[in-house]
Amino acid sequence: MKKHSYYFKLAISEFHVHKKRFNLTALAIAWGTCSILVLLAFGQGMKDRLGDTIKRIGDNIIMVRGRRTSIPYRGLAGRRKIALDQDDVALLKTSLPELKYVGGVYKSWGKKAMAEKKEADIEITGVDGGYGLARYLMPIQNGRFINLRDVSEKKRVIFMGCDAAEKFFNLNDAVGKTLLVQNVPFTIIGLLEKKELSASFGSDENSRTYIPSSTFAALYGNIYYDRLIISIKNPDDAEYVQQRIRNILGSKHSFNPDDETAIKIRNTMEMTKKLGSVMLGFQVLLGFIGGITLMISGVGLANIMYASIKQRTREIGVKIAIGAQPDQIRKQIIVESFFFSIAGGCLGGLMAFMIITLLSQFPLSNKALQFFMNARLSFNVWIATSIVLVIITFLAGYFPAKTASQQNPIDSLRYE
Amino acid sequence: MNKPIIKINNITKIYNTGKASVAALKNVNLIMNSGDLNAIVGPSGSGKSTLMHILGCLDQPTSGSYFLDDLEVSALNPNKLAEIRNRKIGFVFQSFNLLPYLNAFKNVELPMIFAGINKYDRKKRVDELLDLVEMSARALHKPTEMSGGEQQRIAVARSLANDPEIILADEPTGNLDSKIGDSIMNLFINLWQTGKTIIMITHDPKVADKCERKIKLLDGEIKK
Ligand SMILES: Nc1ncnc2c1ncn2[C@@H]1O[C@H](COP(=O)(O)OP(=O)(O)OP(=O)(O)O)[C@@H](O)[C@H]1O
Ligand SMILES: [Mg+2]
Repeated sequence: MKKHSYYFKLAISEFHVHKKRFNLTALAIAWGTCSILVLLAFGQGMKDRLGDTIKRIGDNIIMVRGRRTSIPYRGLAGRRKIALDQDDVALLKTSLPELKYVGGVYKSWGKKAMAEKKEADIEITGVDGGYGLARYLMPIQNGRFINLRDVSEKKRVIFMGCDAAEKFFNLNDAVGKTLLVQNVPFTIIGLLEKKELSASFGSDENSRTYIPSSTFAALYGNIYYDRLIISIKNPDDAEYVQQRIRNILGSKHSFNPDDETAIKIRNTMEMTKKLGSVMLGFQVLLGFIGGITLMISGVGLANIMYASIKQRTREIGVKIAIGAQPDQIRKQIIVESFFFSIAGGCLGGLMAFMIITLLSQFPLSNKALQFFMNARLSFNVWIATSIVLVIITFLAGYFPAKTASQQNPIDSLRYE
Repeated sequence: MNKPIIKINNITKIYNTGKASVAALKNVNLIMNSGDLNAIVGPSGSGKSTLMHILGCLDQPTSGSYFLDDLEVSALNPNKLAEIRNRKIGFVFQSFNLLPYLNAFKNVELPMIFAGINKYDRKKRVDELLDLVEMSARALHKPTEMSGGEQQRIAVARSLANDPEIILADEPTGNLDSKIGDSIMNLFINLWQTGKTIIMITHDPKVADKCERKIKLLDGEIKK
């Protein structure tokens, strides 16, 4: 029996004559591998961002806003305004051990601000020292969020979202500078790391600014909070805690706990859950797209392979007629198809790598397109794709080769 | 010199073509001696090519037995048959059947690659054979760059690659004009003079008359 290196040599010796066929097959494999890799890399990039977003939404947050009652209650008329203040925060803190954090938030939508000879309206939020942690407001670089001391000493410090800060400053050196808000100077203590998506219940967190709640109340005279921000220890308690909040605030402010409009309660758990299921759906979609793409390239590849071997029926007939053994022919074709597919798989991986690397060089400012930059190639996908395509190439080449090599050489010679 | 090299006993070949079955050979008996120059003649459809394919181990008879050099060929598997075609038989086709993407040198070399002969010996032998058929100058030309006569010379050289005892030629001059055909015929006669057993199918009575032995086929049977 001949050694395997023999078939290898036979394949090599005819390699140059099959260049065109080689190019076609290897390119088909390369293209299939590359498109799957790039597609799934984008998908992975998107998935990463989504996962990141979910993490950054912040802890399990419940938001409570005072509104107007709609149901008359205990002799009190409907359409009564419910406003929440420090007492409500204290009451919830003492009566609900399930809570991790409760804080009131003051809000002012448009205040004139000035710095570096620029003027613009900014949105100001008054918060306490625990708010930053609860909402996952991460400062960039050397900044910090408002802390307990800022609040107790009524400091004039301000923490800014990037979009708000950009109206006045260069983001690189904004921290430490002074911003005049209605002619009152505030020191910038930190900037918010950009958030793509957040459970901000309204405006974009990137364009907000934050000052200590005590400073806010002293300067602008607010008593009532715009909203309460509550985080809970265990997300499974959300339903129960929300009901308890209705009951507790209902009895304090004398409204019917079933009055949906008296206070408005929303939570991020729903959003996280929604995003989670979106993410799951996305993953399934990715797998599906990957599978379909793989199938399409597989079919194309099988086609090329099949046609090229069929084309060689006559050639195979001649070879067998002059003494090539059917086994030799078969093994040569197997060696060839492995050549093609391995070369194609490597080439495809390289192409995908180049495309992804190239794309990541473009700094895309459009948030929606950033998954291009975040695209992440998967080694496992590469290996799996290559293996599947190698098997398809092999099968698509093997069976026609086997048939051709088993055919009576006279019949093969007659084949056109 | 005159020992029998081919013995055929009672061979029948039936082609089944879906609708009807054709008996191309009917109970053919034949003995051919080593070193003979044989012509197979007969009208079209009489079974000449069919007989030739069986003799060349390219096809198997439906029934009967075939001994080549005292080896029962009908009992061999396809790989073993390929080996016999490779070493013992040189086949020349009417339509040349060269591989179009290989040059003359590589076409002649191919049977030796299948035989596992080393590169050095292969080159030596190919040079020798191209010289013999007077085609050394065209070694690097592909079949498409050659005339029919030139292609047939290459095909003859290829049939000789592994120095077989028997050369089979199915109308080797059928696609060539008479002058070129004569030069190919001379090649075969020269080969016969070096001791090869030659069996060829021909329609040309002049050619047939030159042969020691004429085997006449009619309707799948040998006519005496
Ligand atoms: N593959 C085949 N399938 C069916 N019938 C066939 C096949 N090959 C040959 N035949 C039939 O067998 C008979 C003998 O054919 P063969 O080719 O041996 O004739 P031939 O003597 O070589 O003729 P020619 O001089 O035309 O080449 C013919 O009737 C032919 O139609
Ligand atoms: Mg014929």
